[in-house]
Amino acid sequence: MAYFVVLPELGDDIKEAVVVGVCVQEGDSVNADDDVVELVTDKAVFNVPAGYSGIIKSILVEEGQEVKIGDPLLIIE
Amino acid sequence: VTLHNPGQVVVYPILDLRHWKKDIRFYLEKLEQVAIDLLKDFDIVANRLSDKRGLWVGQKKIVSIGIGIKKWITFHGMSINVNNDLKLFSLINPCGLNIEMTSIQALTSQDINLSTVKQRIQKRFEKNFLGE
Repeated sequence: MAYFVVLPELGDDIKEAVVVGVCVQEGDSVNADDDVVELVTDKAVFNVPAGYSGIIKSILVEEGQEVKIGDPLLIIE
Repeated sequence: VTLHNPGQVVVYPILDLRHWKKDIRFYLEKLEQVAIDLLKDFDIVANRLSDKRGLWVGQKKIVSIGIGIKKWITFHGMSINVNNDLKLFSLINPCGLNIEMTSIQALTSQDINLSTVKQRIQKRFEKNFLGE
């Protein structure tokens, strides 16, 4: 079963963030608690955890990319 | 690039935002309010600018803010220029902005005791985050 890891709600007025780092590579094994993507918004750095345990199947974002709340960041299988 | 030197008070709260609100801007605004209230104690009116983080007196920056959040636990925080040597900032380009810095001492021309500032920050922090 594949799961999309999406950019979660970060607050009432925040609609997007910029990817400053991807902490995993395709094929990596992750636990639900592991941070997978690092983003910055409003000079705040925010780490998104995997949310699911599994293998990183696909990374959908790259450093410098702007992403919106709800956008898929990667796929875990 | 940023700079920390003696005479700054660096506030580095480690809070679980799930006890307040899972909202980055909510937290930033609370943190800014702590510093705004503190500066008011010294008759300094500091403002937020819509396009730049930190707190400003006119066009000069007095408080720098940069926070991190992991699993809704906060890290990093803010640094308040109290009586630090501002000349050092000319060696860097703070936060990538070509800006001038100021401090409580520079604005009030008073000798400011750091421990007094720290006590006041604690009170302002409690008021803003605990409602006390």
